[in-house]
Amino acid sequence: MSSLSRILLVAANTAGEAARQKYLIVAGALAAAVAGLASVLRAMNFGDSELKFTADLGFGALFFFGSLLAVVLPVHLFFSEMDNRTALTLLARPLRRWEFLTGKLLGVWALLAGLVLLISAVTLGMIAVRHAEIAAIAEAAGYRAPVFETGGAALFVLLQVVRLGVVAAITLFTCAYARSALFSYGAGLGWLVLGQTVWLAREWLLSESSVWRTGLAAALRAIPDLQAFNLADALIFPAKAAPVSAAWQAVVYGVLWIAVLTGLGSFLFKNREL
Amino acid sequence: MDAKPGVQEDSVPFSVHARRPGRFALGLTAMILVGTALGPLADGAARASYPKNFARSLAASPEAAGEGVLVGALGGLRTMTADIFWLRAYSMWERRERASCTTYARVALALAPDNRFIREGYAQWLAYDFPVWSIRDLGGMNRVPEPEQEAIHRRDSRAGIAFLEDSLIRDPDTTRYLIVASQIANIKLKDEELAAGFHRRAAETPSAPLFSAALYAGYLIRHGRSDEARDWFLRYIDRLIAQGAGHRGALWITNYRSMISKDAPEYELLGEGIRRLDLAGEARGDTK
Repeated sequence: MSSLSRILLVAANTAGEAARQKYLIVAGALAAAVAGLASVLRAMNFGDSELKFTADLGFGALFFFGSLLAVVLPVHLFFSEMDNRTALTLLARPLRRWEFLTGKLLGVWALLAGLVLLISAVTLGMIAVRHAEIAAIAEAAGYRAPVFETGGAALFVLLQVVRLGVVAAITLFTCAYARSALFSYGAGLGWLVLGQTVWLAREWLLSESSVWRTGLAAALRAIPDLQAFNLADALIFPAKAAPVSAAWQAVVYGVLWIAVLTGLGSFLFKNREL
Repeated sequence: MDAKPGVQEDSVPFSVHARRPGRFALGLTAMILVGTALGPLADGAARASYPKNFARSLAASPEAAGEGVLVGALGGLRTMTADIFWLRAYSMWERRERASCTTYARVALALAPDNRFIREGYAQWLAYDFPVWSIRDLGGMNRVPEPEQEAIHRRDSRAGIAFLEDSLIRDPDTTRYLIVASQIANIKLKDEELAAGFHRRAAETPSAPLFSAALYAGYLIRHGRSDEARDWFLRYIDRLIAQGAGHRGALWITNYRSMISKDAPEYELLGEGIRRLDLAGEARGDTK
């Protein structure tokens, strides 16, 4: 059996096990419900366009529930293998540790990608229907229809898949050296918050030039910048040219971080006592 | 590692992880190197996702840092959360509770710093509603001496204008902020010069509303500055022509001129503006 087959086998088992978790189903259903409620909740919208409100709510639900699952799923699945000693059985067979870790990541990532596709389909479907209605009204009244870029929307969905992959990879990286699930949950959430806010720290540090500020800003590069994936408005409802090339660069950035984190995690896991 | 009695093996303290400094330092160094190499790939996308004019807002007010944290931590959900807080602020407005109104509105603004509707609404509360409530809380209009009432009105109106000026740092081309500020200056402060200044600034924004230009020109003429008014207004007209908005401008001015009195100081000047716009249109071969 080739290395790739072994990785895919672990990934399939991980995805199957994850899909049986009740919290995944509950979180997925909640996220889809919040996204679907946009048509009802839009009466509470102040000042933003209706389409933007729908996108904010749907992708906001994806952001929240997706991020939580990207932390909880890897830790739960990784430590259940450790606690039940099934990891020992698996690793006693011709399965390398990096293959085990990569398979775990791919399994979790596949499930998270499914969640992204589900919520995005609900949200973008609602936006597309409402956009067609508004465009017809605008055309009849001689106004310009609001902008809705389907290509940009597809790219944004891809960005979200990559973003959750980065969160899952950094959490598994933590699991690779952590001794307890509790620590991994905490560290995973910590990484998530840091990743979402590191841009702010860098922006503040670089607002004035000094050696220590520049040095610290450079050190903060060690934290994957998750803000780079929050391009919903700029890609789906661009006021000017959509930052398509920047979005593709963010995709490459995310994929490379996933590869690096998996590599570093595998190195740490290799030297870990089970 | 020996587990302490009563402590589960699962709850390993952080100090245990920190006892492996070599591996930790190696990992951290590797991540910094990787992050430095990959970072430029994320910079373009990250900047495109920042709140509008964030760097300028951060330099102007440390509050912007809190906004940044909320933007990063809540993502798209912040819009919905801001709306809920604004609704709550409205319910406090109905109870005429100044402190609660301010708190909820400020939270809503921290969550949705770019929301013009909330900014405009809050500025109007500050200038028009809050002083009335303050006077009521002090005993009402019959008890509070008139000079004190006036001072309260002036203080809060200035606070409303200051808030709009802060909003303009974030969003300099928002004509609505300037119009609301000029209304507060005019209605509440009775400061014609200040109001005219806001109209001038509004006429210099990309959307350049005609009524602001006409009102500013009218102000100059009323104060014996007819030549300055003519120079400024015709430059405004030339800018409309240069922007390709000449035809639309002619329609606006004709419509606006038909609504004002022939005795209005700017009436003749508007006529001159229409003639200049018509000439430019004829030169381009526009059909009316």
